[in-house]
Amino acid sequence: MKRKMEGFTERHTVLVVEDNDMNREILCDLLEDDFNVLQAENGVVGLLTLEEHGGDIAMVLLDVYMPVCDGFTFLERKQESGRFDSVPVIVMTASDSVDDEIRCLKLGATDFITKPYNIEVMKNRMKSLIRLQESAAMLNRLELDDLTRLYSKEFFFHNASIVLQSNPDGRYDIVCCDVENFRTMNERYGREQCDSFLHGLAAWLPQVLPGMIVGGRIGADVFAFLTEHQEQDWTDILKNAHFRMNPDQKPMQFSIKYGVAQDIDHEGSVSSSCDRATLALRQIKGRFNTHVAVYDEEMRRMQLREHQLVEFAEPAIENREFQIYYQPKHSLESDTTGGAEALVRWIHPQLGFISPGMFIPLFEKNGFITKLDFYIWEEVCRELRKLLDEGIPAVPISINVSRMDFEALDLAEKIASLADKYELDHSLLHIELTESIAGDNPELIASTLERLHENGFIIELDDFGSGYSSLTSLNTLTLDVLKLDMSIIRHAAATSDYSILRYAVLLADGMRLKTVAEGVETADQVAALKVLGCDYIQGYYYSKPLPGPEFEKYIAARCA
Amino acid sequence: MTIQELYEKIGGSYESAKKILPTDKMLAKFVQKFLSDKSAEKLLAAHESGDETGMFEGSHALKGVCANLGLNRLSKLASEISEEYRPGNPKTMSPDELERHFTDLKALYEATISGIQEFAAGQ
Repeated sequence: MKRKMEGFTERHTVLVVEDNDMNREILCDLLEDDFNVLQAENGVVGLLTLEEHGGDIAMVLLDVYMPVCDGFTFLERKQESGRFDSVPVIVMTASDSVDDEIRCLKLGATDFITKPYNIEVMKNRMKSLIRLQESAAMLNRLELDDLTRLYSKEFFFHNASIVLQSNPDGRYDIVCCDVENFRTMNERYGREQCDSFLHGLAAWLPQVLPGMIVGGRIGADVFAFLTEHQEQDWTDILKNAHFRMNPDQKPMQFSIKYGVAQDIDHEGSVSSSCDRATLALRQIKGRFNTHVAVYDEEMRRMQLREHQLVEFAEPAIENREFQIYYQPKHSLESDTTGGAEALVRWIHPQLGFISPGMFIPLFEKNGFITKLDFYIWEEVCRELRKLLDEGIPAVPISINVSRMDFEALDLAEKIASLADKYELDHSLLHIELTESIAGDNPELIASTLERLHENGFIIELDDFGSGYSSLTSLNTLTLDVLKLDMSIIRHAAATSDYSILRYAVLLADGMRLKTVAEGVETADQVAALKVLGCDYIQGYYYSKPLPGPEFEKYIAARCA
Repeated sequence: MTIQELYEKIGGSYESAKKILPTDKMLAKFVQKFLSDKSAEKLLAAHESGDETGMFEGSHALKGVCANLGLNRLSKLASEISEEYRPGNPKTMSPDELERHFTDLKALYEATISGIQEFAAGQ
């Protein structure tokens, strides 16, 4: 259900749901100069019209009190179906009943208009809401990865699961493919060459994988494909598949590894099947002459070994193996360091450096994340106290909160008492959460954020623009800052098309949110972001994440 | 009779009606449609039978329609009745007061209708 994006002059279709003939006709008369108007005389007809015209409807104007199916019921059913979440609803009330308005808002209404209509106000409000909605839809254009023309991660998962759902008896395999040491290749051959390599590889893979149905880029150098189940051993199938680079390109050394999950479980998620395939793949990384691994019993045991990490976790806190790194955020307005994000590193005495990408998901699964998060927050508070005590200008530091923290702790209370313990001004702590958090238990999350906000903490929404972005989280959560995901920055830099970034900044501006661009690497990107009106920049261009003492030196030098 | 004269006659607010329906032509079209609007009948019938839900729905609808036509006095009366019968609201009027509201509303409604009929006949 993609909406065309042809600038804002497009004539939009709106649906008027109102039982009173007269009010409905008045409204249609007034709107028809500016919009295509569809009419429905009650909620049931409204829902049917929505089903029928689906993606064409840009907005619904909804009366509250109607016989047959009233406005509340309409909103409830629309919310339940979830399919029209992106269609904003303006509720028209004849009353000034605050209770009604709150009830509608809770059911997902976007705005209110009181009768009698002031048509100019109304039309302008409608247009600006539609515009906001379209800016958000624009972000979702990241459906296809630009470099490889494969689906982006979320879309791949989504589309693959649709295939599984619609063919419950079908048998399927997942093949994940990874370029070994891609990071090193990038350094050795340069970004451009490597991008062009990936581009070629992504075009070649679907041709050599038998029974290929859908493919996606699920990591920087990881591709995943859903294929029909192959009886033949995948090791044999792929034995003779040799990717040859475009002869115009400078020759590069590379090695491609495949991980396969066979005859995947329809009950499980596509992402967990991909986890299995990549787990298989990880086993053969660095092995010179092995290119294909199929997930098997041994790997399952390996997965069990992952649980070992979970066991190591508890003592790791006591032994202070988790270290906090701080990545500065540069304020474009003041041209100084305007803050930092706290990031965690785990250095285990035997296992060495353990990537957060490895342990965080594990801890999120088993709940240990809450303990670790709390440990990190306290370390950050201690660091801030130290800065203040030593007379180094303290900048706000963002701490990450996980979904589980909301459920396990009285988060607002916990963070406030922590800040108070170290006698920190609350504005020095920024609370960072990812967009996906909002999906679960939205009321709890919204109310917790509200309380944090009332307590003077600044709320940042991370990863905005990665995967599915929806206006719902912007609408329902109390936010101050929008962090634009690296993928949008990369997309803009790679294509020199800054329109998505522009709309993201515009969207943030419209909602009075500050913007932070993450993953900024070059002066060109900084210059472009400056022009677009982005507020803060985080990324290697200014600084990599720094351990505490280096971070202190960094800001002492910058903010002096 | 001009539309403005009609409004004077029935005690509506021509100015507020024009804010919503900017041309006389639109106003004339919709004010005549008020003749076939069933909200008031529904309200009065519900009142006869003591149907509280019907009274809320009827008065609420009437209030909205009248507000859009600039029939402010009628809209206000309807609004006061609808608040009285809104599910969950406490009763604030005495039975006498309520009765007076209905009597006033009925009289005003009938005067408005006959005014509009006269206007329609001259079109």
